[in-house]
Amino acid sequence: MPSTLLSNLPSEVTELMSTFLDSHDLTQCVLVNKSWHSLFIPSLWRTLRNTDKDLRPLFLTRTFWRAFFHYHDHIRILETNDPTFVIIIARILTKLQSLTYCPTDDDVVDVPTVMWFNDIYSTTPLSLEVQEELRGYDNPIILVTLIHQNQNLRSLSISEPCFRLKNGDSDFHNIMPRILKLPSLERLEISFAAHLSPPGLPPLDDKTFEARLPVFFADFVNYKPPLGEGGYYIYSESLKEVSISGGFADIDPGRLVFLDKCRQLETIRLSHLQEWSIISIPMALREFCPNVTHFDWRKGSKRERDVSMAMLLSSTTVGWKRVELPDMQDFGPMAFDAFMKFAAETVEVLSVEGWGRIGHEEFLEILCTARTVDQNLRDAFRWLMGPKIGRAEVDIQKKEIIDLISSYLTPEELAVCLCVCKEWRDTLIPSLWRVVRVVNEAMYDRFRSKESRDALTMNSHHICVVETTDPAFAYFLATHCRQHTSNIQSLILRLRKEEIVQPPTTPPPRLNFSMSSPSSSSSQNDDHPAVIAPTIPETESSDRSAFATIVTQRLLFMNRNLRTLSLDEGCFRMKDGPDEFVKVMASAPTACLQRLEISFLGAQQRDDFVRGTPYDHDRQRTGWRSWFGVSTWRGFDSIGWTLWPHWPYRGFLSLRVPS
Amino acid sequence: MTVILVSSDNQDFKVDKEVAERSILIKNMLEDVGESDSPIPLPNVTSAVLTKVIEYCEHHRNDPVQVPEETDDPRKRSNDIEEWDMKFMQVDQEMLFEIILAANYLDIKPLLDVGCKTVANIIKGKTPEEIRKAFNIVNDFTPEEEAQIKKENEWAEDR
Repeated sequence: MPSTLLSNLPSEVTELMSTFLDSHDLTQCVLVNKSWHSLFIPSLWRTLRNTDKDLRPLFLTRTFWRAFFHYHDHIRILETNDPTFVIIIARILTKLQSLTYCPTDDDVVDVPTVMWFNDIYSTTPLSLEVQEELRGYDNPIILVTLIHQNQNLRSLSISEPCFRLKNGDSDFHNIMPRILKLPSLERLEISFAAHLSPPGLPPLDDKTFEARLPVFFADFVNYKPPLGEGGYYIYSESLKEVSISGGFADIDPGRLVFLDKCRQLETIRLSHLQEWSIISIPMALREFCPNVTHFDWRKGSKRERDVSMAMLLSSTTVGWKRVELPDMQDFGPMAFDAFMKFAAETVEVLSVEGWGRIGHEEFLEILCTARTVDQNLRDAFRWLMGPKIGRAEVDIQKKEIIDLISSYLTPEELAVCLCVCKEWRDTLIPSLWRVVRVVNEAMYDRFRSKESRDALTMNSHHICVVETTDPAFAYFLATHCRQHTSNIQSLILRLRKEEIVQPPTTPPPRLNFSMSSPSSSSSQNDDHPAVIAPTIPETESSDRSAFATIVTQRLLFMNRNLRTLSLDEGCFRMKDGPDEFVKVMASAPTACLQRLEISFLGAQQRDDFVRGTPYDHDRQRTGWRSWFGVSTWRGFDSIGWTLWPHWPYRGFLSLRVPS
Repeated sequence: MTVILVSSDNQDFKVDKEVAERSILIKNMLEDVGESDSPIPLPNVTSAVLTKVIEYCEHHRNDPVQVPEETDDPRKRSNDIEEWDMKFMQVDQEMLFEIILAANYLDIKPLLDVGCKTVANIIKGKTPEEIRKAFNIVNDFTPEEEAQIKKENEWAEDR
């Protein structure tokens, strides 16, 4: 009789099979017949999920509770955010293996429901004190009850409100020891809340970052948080995995010291962190958790500050074995450097959403060379999980072939090719706009016509190389390109020839970037030119001499992936005004920059360059001069240097000494 | 090197050691016994089923050892069966369950997984009535009982 076939299978097999079914399918299965009912009920009740607020009433019906008292022994996994529900079941469930209890601030105990429940199911009525207690909604008590009842918990996920006493204080330091005491807890996930940011941590910017770091580090390591319940002496021997979500706010470093108690930690998953936490967590990991080898940053930020990302990647002492990352495309040189240092040799599984590049080379290739990878593809794929590599190669090849072909064509020839057919046009447009050189009168004129300007605006995202001697063109580029798509990699500005800057004949319309304050004040009082977009004077104004400087700043600000940058004195000096060299150079993007050339034609001494400029992150003491091994370079007419591979952290200088 | 497997109906099967060792049970047995030509009796597996199982092991002889996958979701995906395996599993239900049993007994994890996925796929998206039909099952609930069960498990619907 085939109907009994399934019942003949050993219970392990039915259990395995039911893991492939979702709860809807399971609800259908228990309806099939009596033997299927008894077969699938354990699997159906294994997981109790009450996280959908709209479905909460379902869990408060008599039918549900009748079933619950029948089957609650099967429950191993509980996911809920309803404190009312939890208060009712907290004393009943004892066999939980996994608990997710993440209430939000709006979730409060519904006292009438608890009383209704108590009237029906309990012999003793609730005392007035208890009722009063419930009204206050003491989450830590609920949580501690659950932890106490379920000593076999293996996985626990909780959120900030779980720690909050009814007077609003946090009971974190009393609860943590109890959690860490759980003998089989392997996985702990904590979502800290946004609004409980600790006081006294100032916002981080590039300037404060380095100055404060040593102080912060000393404070952090010596900090002893108040731990209740003899918490100083409690270490978790079982905890293998910790997930921390910062809720886009800084986590009180005192709280993170709980990592000190997790000496066996192997996996760390981080998400939604703010700057201070990004600094303190690597510190805690390096200091306290010697066995961390699995790093998960998939839900972290993609555009993290390079140095922060590098710190995160450096937070292992033994090297990463498993690393999960978002798109590496946005990684800076320091992050890559840290990865190569802490993972290249040890990593067994690397999973990314996108592969990045170091300089001109594919990161994947560098990694494969750095590591002796078995040529067997299957093996390689086992530890490299990212977008299909084969496919990407094909696309790159195709693009490279087109680039190669079109590099033999002049812009005029390309323009002709564009007219051949639609397919050719679509394929070649990017090649046509890849390099834009506006270096002579004829070219200047060409870009004064409305049609060319419109085309430029349309195709600005294709532009990779710009070379111009025309301030008007630079101005147009800086104002008309879409800021977010602009991706110029090589920028060559020679504006000095035009001693008198030509303002545009007609003022271009305002665009979608900020023009909040008049240019003169913004350009002179701006302390952080790298952070704030410089504004550009709209019309020919009294300070037209400031014009070139601001245009340069603006272009630098828009193109953060510059690899080559070549500027001349005209980009820094206002005609009769002050020298804006430092300000302009402070806007220069350093993430990908490999080549920097500056022509100080007739410049005065550039002592300001030697003193700490914003580049010398870890060269504070030595300064540029000794870094480059140049004792003096005053009076040189022109200076150019090439820096590689990861400027500015491993600087190398080749000097062109003027004759 | 080959080993001889004997099915419950006393048929001999000669297979490569590498193929036979897809079964952890046989692998451990061979390790315990050491070098030996004596046939291995498999009293729980009929020749028809053993033929199928060996076919599977032959095809997957070069597969790498499975790495247990960690997923956050306790529910696994069942729609990732390879094409060959899908074809392989196109057998009548009796055989399907026999294969699952054999895989369980012989400890061939990937085959067991594929079998369970196949059964799960038959169940998926069906109503109770359709499931009964698919597995040729007689409904022994009264309509009241059915309504009751439906109601008490409402919470698990639509996730």
